Amino acid sequence: MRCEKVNSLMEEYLRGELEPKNLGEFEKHLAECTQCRSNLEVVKMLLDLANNELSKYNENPYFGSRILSKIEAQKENIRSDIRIRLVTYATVAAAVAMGIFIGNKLGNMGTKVITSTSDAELIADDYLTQTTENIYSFNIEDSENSNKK
Amino acid sequence: MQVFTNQLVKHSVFTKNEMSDKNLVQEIIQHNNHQAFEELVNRYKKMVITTGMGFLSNYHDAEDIAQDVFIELYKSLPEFRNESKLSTWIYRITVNKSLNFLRRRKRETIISSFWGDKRKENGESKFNIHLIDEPINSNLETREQHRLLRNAINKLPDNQRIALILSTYQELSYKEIAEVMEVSLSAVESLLFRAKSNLRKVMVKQK
Ligand SMILES: [Zn+2]
Repeated sequence: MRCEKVNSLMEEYLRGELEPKNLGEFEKHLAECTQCRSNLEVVKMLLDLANNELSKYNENPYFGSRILSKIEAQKENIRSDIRIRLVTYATVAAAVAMGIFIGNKLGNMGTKVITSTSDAELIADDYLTQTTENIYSFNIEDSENSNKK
Repeated sequence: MQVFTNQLVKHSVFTKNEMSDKNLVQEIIQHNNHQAFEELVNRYKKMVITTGMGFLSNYHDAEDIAQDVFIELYKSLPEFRNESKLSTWIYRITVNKSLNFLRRRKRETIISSFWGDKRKENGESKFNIHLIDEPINSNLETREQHRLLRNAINKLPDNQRIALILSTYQELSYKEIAEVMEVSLSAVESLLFRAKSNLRKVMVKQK
């Protein structure tokens, strides 16, 4: 068993949920690998910390109605916000479709073909003046990886 | 099944507890049904708040963030196209809102520490911001250990921290984490392995 694999089973192991067929190899690796033994100690601390912090969760019965009154109060803003988003979305969709169309034309002329939707989306983005913060996908730099490059 | 549900809605026999997420979302988008949205909030509030707590280690901040998350969700529902699970969509909003909050707080802390020092020079007291909930464990050693670990988690690269919190605070499977983060399964495995190893370097003194 590789260290990565062993690490991926640690939570299950500590929760007593590790499948018996993996248990033997898991414990054998631990007996031989100091780093994984230390990592297991850390995971134990992590689960303990998480339990400790999560025990402060309070069920707030007014939470839902508070959100609704906020939405009610911001009704007009929210409506226009949704309209802008939908228009932006439609524009992107149209631009993507057009990008593919133009891409095909260019392809026929022997120029670079836009092969994927994401290429077309990039082009579409260039034509969009209204860019809303995209919070439904991640664009996070992994500092460790970029250091290695 | 589809017809049956639509009929239920038409005759306004609104049995929200039995409605699937998908049907609730339809109700909200098509009829702006606030009751349906409240049901959705109640279904997911614990998930959102506890995820926020993983990033912020503070219940009240996490609840504030959760309000923003659900308002954002309300705005974004028309864009949600059932391609992924609703929970995946909500997790993404929560993670992003939490990270944005942390970035904002970091900026504000830098600014306020600057003004705090100025005040000190003027003989005023330096104000304290309560950033982290006090651990409730009474054991001093454990408390110190938790504090160290918390600091170490907060210093992890975003990607590793997201994977770690979804794994330990939400007990998501690697597959679910991969869906939320839009990365491969092996990328999740590697992120979590590196996260744990980074924490180990801080927490465990090698003999
Ligand atoms: Zn190992």
